[in-house]
Amino acid sequence: MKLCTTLSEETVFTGISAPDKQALLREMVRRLAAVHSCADPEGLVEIILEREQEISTGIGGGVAIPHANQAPVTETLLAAATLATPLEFNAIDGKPVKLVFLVLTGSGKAGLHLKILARISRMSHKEQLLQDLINADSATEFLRHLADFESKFTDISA
Amino acid sequence: MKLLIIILNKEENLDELLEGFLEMDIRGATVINSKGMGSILTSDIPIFAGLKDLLQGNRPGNKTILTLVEEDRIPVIVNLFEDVVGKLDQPGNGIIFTLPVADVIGLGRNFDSGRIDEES
Repeated sequence: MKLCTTLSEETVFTGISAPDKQALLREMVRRLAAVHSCADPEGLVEIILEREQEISTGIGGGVAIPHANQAPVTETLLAAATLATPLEFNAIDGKPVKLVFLVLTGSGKAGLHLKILARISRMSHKEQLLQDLINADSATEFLRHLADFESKFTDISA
Repeated sequence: MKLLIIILNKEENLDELLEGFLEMDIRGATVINSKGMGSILTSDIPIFAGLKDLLQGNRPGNKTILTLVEEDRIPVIVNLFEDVVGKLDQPGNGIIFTLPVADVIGLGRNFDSGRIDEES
């Protein structure tokens, strides 16, 4: 799998608005659940927020990767969002977040989960790519930038 | 199986390199703070202090990364290194070399696959 093929125009949300982190994550899960079947979206939100309370997933540089392993999902679910207004996320560098990747994997997918996080984390080192993604006007443009970046990468093996 | 040794001169690329390892299912490596010969000579011996440019590795330090890998993964790791750090035929990026391994004792289970366990 690649991020650009697992994400779709229906799961990339550009210019999303939310008053705070909790509302943002709730909205992302709501939109994701409208596309993929999720038995308990509110339960998913709680799991993601629990994880956030352990330590913020704001990895710095305006990027956050809220995530849950062993989530009650039947397939690996990804969503991405760019924010209309940068959001306080208690990120490690204290900077507000502009780009969010939500990663949900089910039970028995620990390795895949780690590899997805590693790829997103690697992406976060690429300043130009981050700017391109943050400034993307549409999901199509977002996915095009992501696909360009991932074209030299091998698939993330399950 | 091979012992793969990377001398990484550009320490700022360490995180991304290890993230790349993880993507490739390499779940373990040892990273040692190290120092090149040129750095030691130019910092410790006054006569060489002005000759940094003539000696290889004039950065203050580097990282030595050790990991055990199956032989078929070596080209992939070289590609990863060159993508993250730069071409290996250019000076100042680093060196990769491998050694055959006779015995390995003490690695966790499932190393044969060299891959991350799919367990919860």
